[in-house]
Amino acid sequence: MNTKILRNLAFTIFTCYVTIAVSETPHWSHDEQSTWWAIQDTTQNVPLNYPFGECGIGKHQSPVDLASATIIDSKSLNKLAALYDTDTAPVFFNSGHGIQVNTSEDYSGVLMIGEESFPLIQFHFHEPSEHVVGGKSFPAELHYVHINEDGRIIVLAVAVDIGEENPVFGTILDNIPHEEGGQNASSGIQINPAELLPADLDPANLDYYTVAGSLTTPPCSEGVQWYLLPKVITISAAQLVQLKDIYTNNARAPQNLNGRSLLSTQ
Amino acid sequence: MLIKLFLAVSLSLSVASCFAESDGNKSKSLIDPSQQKRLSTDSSQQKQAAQPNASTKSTDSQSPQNSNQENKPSMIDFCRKNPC
Ligand SMILES: [Zn+2]
Repeated sequence: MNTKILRNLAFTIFTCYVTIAVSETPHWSHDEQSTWWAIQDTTQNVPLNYPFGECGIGKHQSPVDLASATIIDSKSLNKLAALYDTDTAPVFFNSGHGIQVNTSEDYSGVLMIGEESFPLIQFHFHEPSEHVVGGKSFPAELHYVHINEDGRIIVLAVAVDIGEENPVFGTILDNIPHEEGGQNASSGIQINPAELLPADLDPANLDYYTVAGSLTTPPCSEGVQWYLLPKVITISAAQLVQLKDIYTNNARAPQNLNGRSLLSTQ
Repeated sequence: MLIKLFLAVSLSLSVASCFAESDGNKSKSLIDPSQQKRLSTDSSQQKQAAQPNASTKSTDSQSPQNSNQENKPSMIDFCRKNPC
């Protein structure tokens, strides 16, 4: 019962912050990430005049250094299935902070965690990766963002390495508007987000690491559960150059684990 | 004799490249085994930690949670306009 009250309270606070963030997001950039918490919204009173305060005071922040965490094997973890089908009308979006593909309103692709279903809302890229291993980052990182009917957020993260050219990533690069805030909603291009997953994993039964965390961008809200795939995908060196031409250094630095462990199916 | 030697070298190189090819089809691992700090246990407590409140779904849908209903569009809208 207490858990439920706490959860509802957390969601109410989160909603409050998100509502403010949606209506009047103060400007922020990755360059000034160490002071996101101090960005002020002068139109609000205390404590809402610090809409990104959680970036500074949160104890379960993302990303993290995966080599710093203790990995706990657990065969009894929920089954994870990325049931993504083809989106016939994806929206290619330049968010002002990265390149992003929003799924269409009637898109039916979901991430299944056990029996629970989390619709895929968007996926986007960071350069370099946000999660690191022993202080070392990957060239990029893909985040699939899912939100269920309760407003709970699940992010599926895939590290991106340099290797074979990636045709789906190429399609995204070719259709992303280069101006900040630009949307390309009528490309006529179809995208199956599952085609970006590592080819040698079974999307219907994915192995994973999981850790409790937060949004990696302001307002850095916690209560986000992260699922990290144990295998990487590749893009070519030329594609990385193309990505960097649009956005570079749009990754948050690793945050303190504060006692969190990684749970693993492997 | 030279031809035999040439054939033997060619054969071994082609076998090696086959093995290299099959390795190449496998995706690289996210965390190298040497960098993993493992603790092998399997308790129900850990399972709960990894489950995003699986038991709460029915409870929430039974009780009228206006904040959660309002939460849905704002959250989705927010994450379509921002990286999240
Ligand atoms: Zn992200």
